[in-house]
Amino acid sequence: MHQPHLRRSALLPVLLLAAVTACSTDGGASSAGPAQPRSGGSLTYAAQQEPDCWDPHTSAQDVTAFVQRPVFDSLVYQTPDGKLEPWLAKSWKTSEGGRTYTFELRDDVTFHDGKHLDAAAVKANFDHITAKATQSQYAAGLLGPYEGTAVKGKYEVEVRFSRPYAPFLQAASTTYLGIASPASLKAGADKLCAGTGSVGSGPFEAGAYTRGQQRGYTRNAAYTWAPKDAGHSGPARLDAFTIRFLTEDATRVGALTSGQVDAAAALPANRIAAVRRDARLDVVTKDVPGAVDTFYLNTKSPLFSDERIRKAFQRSIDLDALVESVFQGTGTRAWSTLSPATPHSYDPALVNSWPHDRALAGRLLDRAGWTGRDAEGYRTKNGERLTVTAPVYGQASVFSQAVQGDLKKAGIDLRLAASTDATAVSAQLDEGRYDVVETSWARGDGDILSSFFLSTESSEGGGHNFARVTDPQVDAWLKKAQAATSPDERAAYYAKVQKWTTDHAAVVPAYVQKAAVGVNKKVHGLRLSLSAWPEFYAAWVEAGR
Amino acid sequence: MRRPHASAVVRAVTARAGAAVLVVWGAATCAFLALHLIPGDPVGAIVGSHALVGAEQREEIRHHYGLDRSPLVQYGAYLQRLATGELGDSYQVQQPVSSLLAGQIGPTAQLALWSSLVAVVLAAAVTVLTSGRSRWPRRVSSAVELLVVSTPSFWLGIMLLTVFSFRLEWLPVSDSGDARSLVLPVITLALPIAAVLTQVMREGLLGALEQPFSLTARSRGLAEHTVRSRHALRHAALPALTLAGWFTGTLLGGAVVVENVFARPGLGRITLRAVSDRDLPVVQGVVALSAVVFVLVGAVVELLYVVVDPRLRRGTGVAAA
Repeated sequence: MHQPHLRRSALLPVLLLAAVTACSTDGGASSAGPAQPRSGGSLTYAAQQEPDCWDPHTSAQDVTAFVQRPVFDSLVYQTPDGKLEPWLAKSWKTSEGGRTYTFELRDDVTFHDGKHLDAAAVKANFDHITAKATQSQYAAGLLGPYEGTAVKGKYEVEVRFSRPYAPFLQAASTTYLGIASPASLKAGADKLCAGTGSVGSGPFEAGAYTRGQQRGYTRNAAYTWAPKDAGHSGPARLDAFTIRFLTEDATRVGALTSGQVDAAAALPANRIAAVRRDARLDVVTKDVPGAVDTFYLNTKSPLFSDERIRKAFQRSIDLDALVESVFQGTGTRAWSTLSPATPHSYDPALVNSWPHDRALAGRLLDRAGWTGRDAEGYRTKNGERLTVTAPVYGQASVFSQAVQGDLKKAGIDLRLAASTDATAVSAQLDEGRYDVVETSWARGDGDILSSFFLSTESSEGGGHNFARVTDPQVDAWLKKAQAATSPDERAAYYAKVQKWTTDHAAVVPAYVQKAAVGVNKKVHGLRLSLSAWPEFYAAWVEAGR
Repeated sequence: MRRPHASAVVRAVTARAGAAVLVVWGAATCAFLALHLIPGDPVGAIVGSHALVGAEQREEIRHHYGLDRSPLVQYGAYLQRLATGELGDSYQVQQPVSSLLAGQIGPTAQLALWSSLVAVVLAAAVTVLTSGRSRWPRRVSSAVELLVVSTPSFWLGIMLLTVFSFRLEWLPVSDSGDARSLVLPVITLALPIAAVLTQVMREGLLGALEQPFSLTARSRGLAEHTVRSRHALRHAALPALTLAGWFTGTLLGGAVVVENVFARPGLGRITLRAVSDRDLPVVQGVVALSAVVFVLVGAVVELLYVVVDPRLRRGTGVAAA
């Protein structure tokens, strides 16, 4: 979303601050003692984005996984701190060295349409995900080297892979691999995508949906199969809730501060402090797991194939200062491509291992022959300016522009080539005509590294290896991590990949993204999942407020 | 009165319809060209940046949307679909574009019609009230008009929201099914249009009041407000009617801003999403629909000319109102 009128939205909150805070500082009612959880009531949540396609088996959007989570249960549950525990599957075991997963299903689960969950239903879902006609943009990719699913008994189902594939359990916990009622899957792609035919077994049933406006959810009174650490058991506490799509930042925050919605997603960094000061509101934050916002340096580009220049680029950026000033204390500078919130894979040993060092950067550039200076102070070699090209889809973020300013001090010209044309940008990426790409990708598993560094994940093949790393050693580590059976063993391989990519300056990890949700104090128990999206199951609202 | 020959009417209507088809075809062709001349692979835009899609699946998508055919064949298929009112399937929402647009046209039409009504009534009232002998109401009004016209509607909308929704809490922030939720969006959309209309109409009204017929009317003893609203206003309305194209464009464009600020469903919201996601079929559908709307508005305006100005009625075949 980078339309001209929306571009202004970054400035507006600042200008409106004075006007809005004036009305939001009248003290909220001081709560008399801790309130008891109660059943009943409803709440309204303002989301920042609306899904294009509502079928989690098809869509690649984070927001689709979020809005469908209350409707669809998964085989496995991932707790907010990353543990994997039984959900629709009572238990599971792997065999053939991790190539085969056998799930023992619960026998007491019914879908919202009254149909019963059994092994055949699970098979129907995996068949739907991998069917060509589904045109899955993400779920099928999550299944990796998938071979097939077989019904072994009424409640026993087996999923096979062509090679050991440890990331599968975490993948199975996501909404993308959520289990829908098999009957609903026959409705066809347009029905499923429209969000009106969603039938799962979750704690809430999908209610009325108006595109561009809101979707309702009502409690599933029969729900008794919540995972152990869901924060509650039995049917959900809320009778109902509504997700409204307020895409404009100023509108969404205003709706929260004036009490027209009970919670609001994605508070802009410059409004978090004001919302915190409001006696009626709280801010809940959580680091997003997966790949942090990172600069991927094209190790095959004419400029960056010289490791000295990549290293100089990496050491020139004063990330501590930039992250602090841009995110005003609401972001954390990163040391690794992986977020510290990623379970069993983040390597803390990288902290402080590549500090800001402009003098070192200068020496490296001198040695690489970039000794001249032009009129604007940029380094030159044979009369050519040291220009680093970064294709940007939409508009360059404030952070990217801050990095651009900082690099100028080191004599490096970061050219943010912004284009609103996704096709042109993707062509540039496919053909490798760039020096650096800045991006992030949330996921609750270290296997996200495979999407970025496996030599086979090239951009033209639909992958995300923007650094164009083609190192047999890195490939071997990533494959071994996928095959390893113990989490510690996997973490050790991922640590090697994180260290290799920063040591060879294939990446400059920049900052860890933080989800910030504003919540009215009358709402309790609205916690953030591992992927930092709100979970409504255990939430409740105080009566009469 | 001389009745026009029937065949002349048929010829006139045929010419009109032919011109209308030409306009829609031209707009649709421009949209097709603009979106196809950009280099690169549209499949990249369809699957988005954070997707796990293998090469084989990409080819499947390419084939599904007919993107593996030559541009000329695609153009032919596109025109053929357009002629039958079918607009293809959206890339991202994966629904038929026609049903997607049909589902969103209601809220936008509601918004646009109310805004037009408010804008026209407001402009007429302000014009009549500020075209008297005394100059200061005119000066104040002109200053306010200039201010409103130069304010971006995005800003205007946020300001109205801040005051009337966030602060005074009189009106809801977004569409919640409540009729009150229509008030602020309608005002946001109507104010700039009313301001321009007022400027144009006052110009015309003041001119008309200088005309001999006004003197005649006054000398017959008609009250000043009757002279202005009954006689002179018709003259002022003619130049305002010529602005109909601009008016329609402002409503459609304004809907994009207003619907997003006020979180209302509608065509504007769909359009913004489609443009930023490069959802070609939806963009083409919106362009074709807009062209049809412009053609219809043009036809209505021709009729209105005749209703407003009796001098144009002879020979047009339209009975006097």
